[in-house]
Amino acid sequence: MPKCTIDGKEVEFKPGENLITVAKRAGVDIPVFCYHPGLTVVAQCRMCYVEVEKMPKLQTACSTNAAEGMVVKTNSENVKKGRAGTMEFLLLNHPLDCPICDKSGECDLQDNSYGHGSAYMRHSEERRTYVDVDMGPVIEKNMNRCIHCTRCIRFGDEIAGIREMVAVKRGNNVDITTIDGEALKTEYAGNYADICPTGSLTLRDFRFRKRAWMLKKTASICEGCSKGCNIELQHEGNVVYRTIPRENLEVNKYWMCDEGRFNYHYTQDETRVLEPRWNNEKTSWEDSILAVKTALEGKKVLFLVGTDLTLEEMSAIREFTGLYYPGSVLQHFGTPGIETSAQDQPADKILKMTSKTSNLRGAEKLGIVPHNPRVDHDFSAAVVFTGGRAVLPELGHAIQVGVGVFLDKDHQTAKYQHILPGLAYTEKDGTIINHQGKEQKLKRAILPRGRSKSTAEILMLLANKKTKVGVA
Amino acid sequence: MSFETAFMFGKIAIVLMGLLAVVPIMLFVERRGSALIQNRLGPNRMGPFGLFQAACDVLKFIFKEDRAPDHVNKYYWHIAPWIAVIPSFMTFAVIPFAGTYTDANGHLQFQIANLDVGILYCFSIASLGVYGIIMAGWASNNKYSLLGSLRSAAQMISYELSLGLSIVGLAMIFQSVKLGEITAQQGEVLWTIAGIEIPKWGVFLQPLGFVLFVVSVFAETNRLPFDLPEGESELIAGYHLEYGAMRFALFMMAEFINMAVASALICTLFFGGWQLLPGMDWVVGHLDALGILPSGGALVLCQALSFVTKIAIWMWIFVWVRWSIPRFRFDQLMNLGWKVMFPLALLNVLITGVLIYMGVL
Amino acid sequence: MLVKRKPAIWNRLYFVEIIQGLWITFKNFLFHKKVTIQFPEQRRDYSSRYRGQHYIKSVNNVENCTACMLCPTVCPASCIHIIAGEREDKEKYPVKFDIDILRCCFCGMCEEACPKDAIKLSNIYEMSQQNREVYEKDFLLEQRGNK
Repeated sequence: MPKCTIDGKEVEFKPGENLITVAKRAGVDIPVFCYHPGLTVVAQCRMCYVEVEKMPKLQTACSTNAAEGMVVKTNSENVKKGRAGTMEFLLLNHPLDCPICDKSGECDLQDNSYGHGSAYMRHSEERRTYVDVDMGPVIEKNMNRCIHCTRCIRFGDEIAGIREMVAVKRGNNVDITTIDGEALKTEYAGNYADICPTGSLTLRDFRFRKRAWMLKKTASICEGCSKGCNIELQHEGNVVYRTIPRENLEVNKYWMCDEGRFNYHYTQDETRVLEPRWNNEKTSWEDSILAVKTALEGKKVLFLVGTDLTLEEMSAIREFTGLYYPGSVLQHFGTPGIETSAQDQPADKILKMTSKTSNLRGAEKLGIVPHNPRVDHDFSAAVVFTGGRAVLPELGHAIQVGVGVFLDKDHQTAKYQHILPGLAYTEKDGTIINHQGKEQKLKRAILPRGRSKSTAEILMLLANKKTKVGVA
Repeated sequence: MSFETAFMFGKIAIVLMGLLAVVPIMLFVERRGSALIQNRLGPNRMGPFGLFQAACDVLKFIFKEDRAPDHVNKYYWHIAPWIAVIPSFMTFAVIPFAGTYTDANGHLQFQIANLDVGILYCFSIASLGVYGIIMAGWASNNKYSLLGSLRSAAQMISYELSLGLSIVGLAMIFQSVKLGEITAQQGEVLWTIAGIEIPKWGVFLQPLGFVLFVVSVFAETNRLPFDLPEGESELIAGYHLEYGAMRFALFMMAEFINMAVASALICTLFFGGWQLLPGMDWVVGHLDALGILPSGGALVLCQALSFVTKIAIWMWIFVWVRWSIPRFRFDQLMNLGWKVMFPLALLNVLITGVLIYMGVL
Repeated sequence: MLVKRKPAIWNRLYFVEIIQGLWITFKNFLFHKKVTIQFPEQRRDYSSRYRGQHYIKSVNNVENCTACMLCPTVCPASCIHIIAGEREDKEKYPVKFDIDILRCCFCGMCEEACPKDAIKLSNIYEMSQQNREVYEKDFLLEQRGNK
């Protein structure tokens, strides 16, 4: 492997790697704006200046590939001066509205300005201002803050596969906008806000709800589809405020879709059932468990497992049914029409899969057969376990018990005699097998809401002979 | 009812009223005086110069909820304040507050009881006061209270010795322990220096005895610098820690009345008691000339006035000392009592004896 | 080295010392200027930097605050609770701005952190109340104790 020297450290590299990647491996951070590892290199912002020996001028690290014997300095006086100059240019038109801006706290421009810019400003002219176009329901635009890194334009071109954003006009008057000022059409629009190094493109969903530095971060997995995108749940005070993608080059690279990004909302819906119900009346856990046990006693029970549950939950349910309801039927359900992994195919060319539940592979691995609604089943009672994401099957008029996340607003709850509230994906730990067969871990971000209990706990209560139930 | 009995009841009433009146007055004087000494203003809101503050304090004491803590010994706890306050009243019985009034009907003595034992009665009754304190401390069932009362007992016993011995010299000179007689003798002239007559007051005859007596009396009344039974910093409030409302007020009353009695004793023994203050002769003469009062009445009135003035001055000195001199440590207190006061008192008796033998006194 | 000196005999009698002490207190009693400030009528002049009751500064009846949440971030007692919102004339403003005054320790860090000169501590120091007060936005917006 060829070697080069960065700040006195010798680093090995693969031919074709640029200096930012190599420097990162050497533990040297080079400030960037327009460079994004998932996008093409344009060397537009001029922030990543480095000094390369035997080259007369400063070089942009993003567009310079490492070469054998190259000697790079990233913190020489020249480089510092160059970066300070770049920072000054970038901030010429940037408004000082950090107190208002949602990006502040996680803003590249803020960080780099503190790190490499000057505390003083020499220009006193008026800043340019824009009238912003409406960019649709996902993204809020504020062109005043833009530094023209064109990350968003490249994202649309290269990742989202739709050319929506362009730079119109030239020089000081450049305007990064959608073509003809239309709303964004891509289903991956949330990523615009993630990649924007300033507060020009921010999420409407998150607008003014919390400051970035107040949020606690939990690395988890998206349950939106069988892709299993790596996400970070950002939450504070037992409320999830947003979801952002985590880098995982094998699964989702740097991106996620809007469906998965805003999926967490249903777990905090006002109509979510958060206490045990019996014929749509609130009851206590003790009464509820007793009633469920009585209702299921001596009946032929159909157990339905949503494929949005974790591997651990499914396994516990399988064990429970085998031990306490021998002869009962255990089947899985999830997305209508997608019953086996063979039917689960990419829904588009980017990330989405056709199975809208995350753990179809897990159900198959545990040997649970799919539920076929077209076939008549011989059962007198049904217990449905769901994580809230799976589409509930129509089951006729047999005694139905629902365990998991149910929302009143979907008119699902009326059909169930008993509802035992379970945990949503933000509230539990577990394992999920994605479409590649990769096992990935869900992490609990917030505590269970209301009086909901985990599936394992509910199963334990149902299994308990004494039917004594702890106070929920 | 014979005139004698009525006169006796009258005297008792006057003494009781006077002593009771001392309490609110001293309450006010102490609060305002301490404030002024410490460059503050003190209570000045109620009435002119805050004079009604004492009345308000008393009202507060009366209307406060009077409750006994659970853990106290109820019986002793309830009677302790009375045991403390009653002896302090009783002591005043033998103190003459004016000279004898003589007219055609006979003599009228302005002294409740002219006992032969005189001072000894004073000391014996005064030492009863310590029972109240010990009772309060023990019945409160509280270590701070108990420690406070133990200290009090130790202190009182230690200082009673020098208290008693310090006036032995005086008794030797005046050849009596009857307070009336001692006071009467102090009206004589001791020396005449450059036309100024110096009366035969105890303080001139027994300067060392006077100092010892004053110090011992401060210790006996539990006033600063000898208020170890209360010592806030180490004992919180000492023996009256568990008391509130009127019961606490009774302890305070006992302290103030003890002060008054102590002042009266100091005046009687060392400052000529009811003997007229310098300049009072002139007032007596003018009052007699006016002829409003029966003959000799003006003299008695002025004698009583002189006595009250002297007491007032001493009461003020009590307050003044309290806010000037810091508290002793307990070992210092004991050292002072046993190693300094006691030998000095003995020495004083010896010197007085020698002087009397030599015929100087 | 600690030298223990024995005071002279006339000093150890403490006679003169006691008289001197009494004289000092007597001078104070009679002549010294009394330092009491009679509160409701007389008031102490506090420094303009005194940290008392909070208020939100407003200019032309528009609050300076932009709900940037720097004050709740910096607040060591976490007594400031803000919910941000948007309205016609102001991109970001506090819909709710509560100060749980019982929790407040009057450190003044909110004032120091504020980039908009919005939250200020006035020199009002009479803040006793009969109930457990939370200062709400309307209360804070009354420009009381402006300095």
